[in-house]
Amino acid sequence: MTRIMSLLLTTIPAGHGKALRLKAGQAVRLINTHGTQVVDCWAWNAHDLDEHMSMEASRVWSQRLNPIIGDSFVSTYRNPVLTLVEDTSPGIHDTFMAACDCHRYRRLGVAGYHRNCLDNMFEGLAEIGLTAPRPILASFNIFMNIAVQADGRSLKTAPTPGRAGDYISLRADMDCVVAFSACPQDIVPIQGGAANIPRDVHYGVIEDSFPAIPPSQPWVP
Amino acid sequence: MSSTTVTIPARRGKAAHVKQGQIVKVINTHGDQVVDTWAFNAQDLKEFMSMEHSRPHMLKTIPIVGDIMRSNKRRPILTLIEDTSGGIHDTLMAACDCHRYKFLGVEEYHDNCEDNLHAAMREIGLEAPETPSPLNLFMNIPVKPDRSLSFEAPVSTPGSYVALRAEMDLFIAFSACPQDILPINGVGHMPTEAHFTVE
Repeated sequence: MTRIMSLLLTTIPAGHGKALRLKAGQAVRLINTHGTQVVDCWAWNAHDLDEHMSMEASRVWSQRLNPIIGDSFVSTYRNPVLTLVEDTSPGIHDTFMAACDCHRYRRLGVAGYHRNCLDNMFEGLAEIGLTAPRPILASFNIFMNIAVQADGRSLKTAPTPGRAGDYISLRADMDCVVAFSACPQDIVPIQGGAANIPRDVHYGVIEDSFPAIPPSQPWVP
Repeated sequence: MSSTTVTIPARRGKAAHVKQGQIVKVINTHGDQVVDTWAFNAQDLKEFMSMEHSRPHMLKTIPIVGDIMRSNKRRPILTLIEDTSGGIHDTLMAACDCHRYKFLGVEEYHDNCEDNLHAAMREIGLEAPETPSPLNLFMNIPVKPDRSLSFEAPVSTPGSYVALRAEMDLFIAFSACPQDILPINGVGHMPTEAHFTVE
């Protein structure tokens, strides 16, 4: 079995984005190298970029706010795109907050340009020669800590509780394109550690060294 | 100023133009009906109400009176100014679509909120650029402590309503959700009409 030591790793520089292609059956292991970084993630059908991973359809599919091992993310056509097959982190992720964008930072009082996840998505895709047909998609916010309070509706944003070297692996259920952004947020305290400083993360593509878990079935009554 | 009451027929959609500052009252006429709601900037339909952009600013999964729904450019688009329905709505779940009913075991065509949105917009001569994640008025999706979700019957009562103020000129679209397999439109599983006014 390939272990993480021998995995060929690509760096996602702090505050930047990267995209990659996955064949159905491959997985991408995303490593929280410093343990403090939130990473936004998007995915598209490699053969039809109009079909993309949908957070709102995935919540209907799995009946959960965020996935646990064995849960699949489905597309806008409700086909499984990615399945969470490994997660060594505390399992705290977010599916319901929009990726940060230029408007977000303007409202946070930033006067000049601030790097942001939405632009990173486009930059990552452009680097591999692709353009997203829809400008704005809801993101899977890996390691992001948004707690729902006891009233069932209020939200509390907190630093990610990760540890250095935590990783998750997402198995492709279709040929797909995946984009990541090492979130540049340094104003709202979502990155772990007291400093709230964006850090590098790493990913590697793995062929078989992950648990064989079939795509999850839709929840039905 | 008086206003006309518009029917959202059971299992169907309806759209209308709303000027900035006008108030849209969405009435749960029979009490148990979920109404999927979308709003599009009248000047640029590619700017629309976005649940994922609204949540980080209101810091809630469900808006309460005073909360502002935002567009995908994070501009205020609708403000919830009155709610007599019990305050239970949903921002998490995708609109039902043909794919949804297929995996619920329906083999024939089933009316669905996605098609209702697009039909309602076409009825007023417009083409919605996509199917944004809707504001599901009166829809009851409790979040459990383990972060799992469930589909429950509405808590609203007949004639209860929400009032939404338009923060820009917009087109509002509704679908009286045709879901009759899950108890989301009441334990009787019977989709009904709902109504709205603009004034």
